Amino acid sequence: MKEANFKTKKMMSRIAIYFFLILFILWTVVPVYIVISNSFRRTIEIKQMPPKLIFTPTFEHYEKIISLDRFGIYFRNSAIISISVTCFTLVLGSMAAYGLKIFRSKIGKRISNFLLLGKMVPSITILIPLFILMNRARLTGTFIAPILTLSCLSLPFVTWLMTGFIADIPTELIESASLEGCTRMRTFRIIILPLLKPAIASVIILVMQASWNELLFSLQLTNLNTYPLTVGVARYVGAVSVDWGKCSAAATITMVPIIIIGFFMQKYLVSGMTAGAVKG
Amino acid sequence: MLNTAGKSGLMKRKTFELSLERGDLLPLLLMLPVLLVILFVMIIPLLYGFTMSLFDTGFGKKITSEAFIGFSNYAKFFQDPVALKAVFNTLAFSFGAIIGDLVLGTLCAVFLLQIPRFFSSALRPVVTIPLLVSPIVVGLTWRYIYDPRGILYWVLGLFGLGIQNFPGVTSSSTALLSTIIAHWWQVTPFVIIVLTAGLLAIPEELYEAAKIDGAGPVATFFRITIPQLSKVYVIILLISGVDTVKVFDIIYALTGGGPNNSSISLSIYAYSNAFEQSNLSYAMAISFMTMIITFLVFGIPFVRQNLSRSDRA
Amino acid sequence: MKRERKAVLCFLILVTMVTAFGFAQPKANLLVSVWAGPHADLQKRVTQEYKKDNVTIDDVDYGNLKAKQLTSFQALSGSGNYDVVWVNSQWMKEYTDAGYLLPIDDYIKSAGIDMSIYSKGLLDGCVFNGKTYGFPTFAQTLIIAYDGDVFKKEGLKAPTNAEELVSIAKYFKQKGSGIALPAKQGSGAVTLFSQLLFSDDGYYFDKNGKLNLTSKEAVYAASIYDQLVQNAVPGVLAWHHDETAEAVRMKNAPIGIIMSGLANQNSDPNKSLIVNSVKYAPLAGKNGKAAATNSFWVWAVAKNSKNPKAAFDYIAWMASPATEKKQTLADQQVSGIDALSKDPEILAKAPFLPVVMEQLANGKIDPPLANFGKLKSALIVSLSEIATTDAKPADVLAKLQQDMAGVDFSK
Repeated sequence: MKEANFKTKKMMSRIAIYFFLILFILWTVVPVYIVISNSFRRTIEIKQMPPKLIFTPTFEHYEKIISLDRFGIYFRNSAIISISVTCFTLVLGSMAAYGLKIFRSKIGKRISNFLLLGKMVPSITILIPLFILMNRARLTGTFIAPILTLSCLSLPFVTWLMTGFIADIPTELIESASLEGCTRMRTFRIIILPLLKPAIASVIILVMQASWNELLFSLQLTNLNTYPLTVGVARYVGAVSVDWGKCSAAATITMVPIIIIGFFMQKYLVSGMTAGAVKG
Repeated sequence: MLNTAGKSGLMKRKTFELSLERGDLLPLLLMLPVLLVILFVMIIPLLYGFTMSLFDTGFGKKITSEAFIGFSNYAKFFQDPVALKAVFNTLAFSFGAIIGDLVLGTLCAVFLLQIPRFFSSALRPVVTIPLLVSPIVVGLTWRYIYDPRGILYWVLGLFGLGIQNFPGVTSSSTALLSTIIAHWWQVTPFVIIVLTAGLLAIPEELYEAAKIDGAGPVATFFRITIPQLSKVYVIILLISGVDTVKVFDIIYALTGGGPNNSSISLSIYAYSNAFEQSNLSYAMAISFMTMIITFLVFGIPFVRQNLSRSDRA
Repeated sequence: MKRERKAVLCFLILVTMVTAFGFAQPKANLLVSVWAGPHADLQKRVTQEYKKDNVTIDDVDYGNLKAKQLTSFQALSGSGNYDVVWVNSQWMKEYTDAGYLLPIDDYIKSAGIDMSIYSKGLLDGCVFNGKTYGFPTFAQTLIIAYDGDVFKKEGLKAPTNAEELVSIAKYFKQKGSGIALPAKQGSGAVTLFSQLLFSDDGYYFDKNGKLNLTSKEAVYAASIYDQLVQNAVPGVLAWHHDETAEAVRMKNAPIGIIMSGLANQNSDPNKSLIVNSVKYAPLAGKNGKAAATNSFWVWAVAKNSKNPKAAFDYIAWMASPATEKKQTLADQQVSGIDALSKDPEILAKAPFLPVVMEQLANGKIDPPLANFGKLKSALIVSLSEIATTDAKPADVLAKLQQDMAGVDFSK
């Protein structure tokens, strides 16, 4: 009797778990589906309820935003900025984390924890002074301003993550390298970097996502030639008229590349967070 | 060039960690670029902004000595009913957002690990999608969903419910909640990822010991899983909890701060003062107060925990 | 060591490339800041015919437009800042006080432009301290749009004053729909309130310049607003102008108060279900008079522009009768030029034009005072309170009057 009870209980809990997960997946996916499908609907259909699941798709919104509104250029700009920021933070962050390790390896992790305090600065506080400074330096409207700024927003997190990762690497491993006669930089290249791979992958996806999707600084520090995709999407949100068709097309172009990259990097996301964030 | 061959173990460790006194610049050189970037992009504008909050300045106005108004902006903050409402809203948002994120995230992370590996590795990438969407796109999407003539109410209509039952963004009682829901959609995936990492790090032996002692699943969950995860929760709080106090994009896109200022957040109030009401110095003061509040809520416990932990090698 | 050098080299190359990309921008002689939307697309097309200089239009969404202009005014000349700005009439006072705009009287004189073709009410909003700062254009006002077929079926006539408007709204509310209006916490509601106020010859200030929000015209306007919201289609509390106009043209509401700048979408078969049945009426007050809050946009030259003369030539061209006519024919926007509104070609395309012109002729502008922005922000919140709570309009206005007691409205 007890065994039968136990088995049904187990089955019930299994069903409950699956039910919850299915609901969660639906709740996750439906909004994304809405945006993407809206980008292919005629404007008049977008606002009609009940929504038609089967409809004839149109490409007019994409045509309009790419030809008339130069969306291809925004895409290029977003790519330039995001890739540069990712590379920049990776190089600087891992270097700094290594520097911290060889400087004060025992408390390096705790020092780097203080970097996280940098997250407490609201963007609006530094937006205007930063604009003035960048402008005086003739950097506004170039790619340097957004790259530098967005890097700064992610650097504390990346450095902290890397420090955590490096802290996990056994000191004996590092010492044996120096025993073999390696300089410290060579040790960095040969021993540390390969072990950082999961963290690097984690950083790539998180930093790319953050800089690709940023709006406030990207809007003020760039001009016509360097606007990224987020500014392009914002443009269709008027106070007086929201063009849902173009807006959804713009949003889709903005969303899809990062989602694709995310899919490829999935494997590393969890392992990257494990050592870097969780242990130590 | 380090030549440590032939030295004793202790000496090896010491020579590896060369200290500053020996004139060793490499560690500092490695850390320098990061420090420089943070200095120029964050610290200096921050100080500049703080200075601005002490003077009666605005766009295009110079900072002159007559315009010095000291801390009167900050005094004004405590007497400004809208500012205080914004504080309340921001903290309420933060609280609701974080609780929802953690609860939903924990349930999902735990459940994902209960189902066969094959399924969970297929589902996990899907679950992380909202994380990869820009806040402005999130705001727009949910604006479309919450539209009174839109999809949410059509679905509710199928169950016989309508806008009276859940007024969504149109009523001051539920506007903030609606923004919190949109936030949950976006941030829960991050919690799931970090918690999954944390759950995987829990040693199997603990669970086995619990089984031997005859503990049921619920007891195991509360006595072993959650305490083991406490460190991870702190990290989540620091990384995404702090972001909730700075909330701007989502609320701005969905409600604009209304109705009747029921969803105005501190960042929105600061933005409105800077650009819509030409009150730049007050805006700076508001954002500084935001920073201080964030530090009080998140920073102090964090600093205490960090400093009190015993030195672990 | 070699591999390390390579890595550093790669990094340096990357940095150089980015720098080169960064600093190399194609030459744009004139940078123009406008508000994004269908009219901006039209402006871009029209600008392609401007042969004199190289003009690039930067259209930014309304929420961020002012912020972007403000930061541009802080920038160094020639650092990519805007030469020409499209300024909302409500920001003109702030901009001219702060010295962001260039006075253009001398340019006007030497170009021999006849400024009398511009509607006086609008032109007055471009002149401060005796100096002219721009050309008025793109005037908008709230008007009533309704579905003529539905009205015919129900045996209703268009409302001729505020009371009739409320009773029509009540009629439809009892039948399950209602009126559409912008009741979201924001400037849309304030525009509606002020139009009702001005239509009764009321104003924010009394004859002596003192703030008077408790005047009977103000209380009447607020209570009409309240009643309209009570009899509105569900959801208006989340609507600004675009959602309201959409509700009307998608047949969710048989009558609505919409921005005239959106009326052209009613005739677009891709966007509207009432193409053949839409009709317009003035938004009138108690006594049948309809007045606008004259809100429009101004073509102006930024003071920190590197090419002020070229910038002036461009705005003079954009605001000239020929160019304005082209734009009005294309999307029925209302220009600042009086004569165009009587042009038969234009009237044929824009049936709402007479309504708009009547309201503009009776209209008043928002007071050009430094602290008016504060009043407006507070009014936004008060109207939201009136719309969402049971508070009596008179009480809310009285409280607002008290809250504003210490504010200086003398200049």
